Amino acid sequence: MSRKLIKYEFKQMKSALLLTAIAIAVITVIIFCIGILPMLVFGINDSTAGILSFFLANISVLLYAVVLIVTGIGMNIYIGVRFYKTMYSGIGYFTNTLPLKKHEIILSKIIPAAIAQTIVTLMVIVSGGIIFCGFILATDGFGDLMLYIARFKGAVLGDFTMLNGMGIVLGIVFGCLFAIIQTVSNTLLLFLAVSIGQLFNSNKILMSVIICIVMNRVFNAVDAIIEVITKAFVYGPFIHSPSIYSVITMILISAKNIIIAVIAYLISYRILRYKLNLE
Amino acid sequence: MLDLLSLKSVSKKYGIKQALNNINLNIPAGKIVGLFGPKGGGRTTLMKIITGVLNQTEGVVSIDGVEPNEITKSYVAYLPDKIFLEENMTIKDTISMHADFYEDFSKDRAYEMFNDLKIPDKFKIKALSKENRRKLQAILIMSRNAKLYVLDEPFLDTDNNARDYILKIILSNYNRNATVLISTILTPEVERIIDEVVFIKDGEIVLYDAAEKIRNEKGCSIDEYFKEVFNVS
Repeated sequence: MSRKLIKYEFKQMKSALLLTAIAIAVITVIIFCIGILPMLVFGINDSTAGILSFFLANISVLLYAVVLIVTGIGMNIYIGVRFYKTMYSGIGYFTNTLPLKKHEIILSKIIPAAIAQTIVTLMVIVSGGIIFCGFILATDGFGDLMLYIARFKGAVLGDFTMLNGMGIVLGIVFGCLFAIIQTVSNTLLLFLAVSIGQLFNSNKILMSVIICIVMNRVFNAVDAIIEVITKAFVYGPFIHSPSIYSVITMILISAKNIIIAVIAYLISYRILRYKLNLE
Repeated sequence: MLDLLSLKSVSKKYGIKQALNNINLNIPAGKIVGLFGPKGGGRTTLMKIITGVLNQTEGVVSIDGVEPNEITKSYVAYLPDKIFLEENMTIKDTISMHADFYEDFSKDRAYEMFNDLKIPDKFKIKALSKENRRKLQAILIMSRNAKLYVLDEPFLDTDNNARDYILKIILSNYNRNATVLISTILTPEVERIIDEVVFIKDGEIVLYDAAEKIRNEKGCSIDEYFKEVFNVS
């Protein structure tokens, strides 16, 4: 039964995902044309055209980063609004009277949302790969492929600076695992924020947004504390093998994310089961 | 005979506000029961509790001997006073979705009723007027062969034609062995079809009796008696 709800959830998310894919593709092409192409054509030598193209490239990469962040936030907003609309507003009357257990309903909402988030992340990685390869090709030419893959790993996996020091394959495997846990945990937190927000008698959406922001800030601070602690206790003793520091930090943050996900799930379940407050 | 719907000492509080207070009701199968009362009297809260959307603070609710849960939801058809349709879905998908989730849903019956509206089923819900959305909701609910139909304000935001259409849909499609609990404004058409009457005010049952008995004993219509009880002019 919940499989059917997952199917319909995907069907409803299809157009949003398609729109996101098109937007990312268009942005990638635009950035490639204004940022990378001039460098490939004019080079990055000391000529005016070369300097200008290098300047354009830097500006466009900056713009590109902003667009990707907006895409990520936009997807979060879309999923949050979808949770709210299908669970706690008018459509919630349909969802909550389906002959399904509450666990099935929550999973039917969480699984498609987490997969959608993952798909968007993958789109961003592919797009980032294209731009990054273009940038590397334009600046250095593909001299040392492995070096560039390592750089790409560092750049695309973004703030996962803790991946530094790991082997490429190990880094990517750990990075993916870490990202999946993070995505599921974030999705459950989003669901929890919306579930708590609906408990209020008015301004339910606003309250959901505030709760979501506060929770994110708090857990980001927890991440930072974990990093500081591991840096203090692990980084020093294992300074010659930084991958140990990376692995321990990632394991601790992932453990924190798993705990948050479980707690978020249980609280959401209780709210849905006992404190449903449909509009 | 086992009552299809039974409520024993059911109360509901929203914070400090008492929405329902010690509700006791036993409704047998095969009846059309009208639930009437002033706005804010507790009708919608009562219906939400019966359908399992809301939990009571105290008391016991049972439908066919079972407390509201995912099992009762498979044989209770609930038409809320809100629009529950997903705007971006097509009518065809909406009907298929209901058929997928409810074993007692008849797709043929749904299309039989829907075809009267002369609207292509490939249209999205957002293309429908408010009245047609209400009609479609009524069609979806009445296409089920449920044991209990809970209809909360089925004629809300509708004109006379739409009201007649929805009433016709309800009367010609409900399972005759089922109970219909309907909360609406009292019109002569509604009065004609109801077997039993429940008056609810300030979260308490003021009256529960057979419609015929009220008419005979009070010597007036249910509507007139309603106005008398609730001091409505």
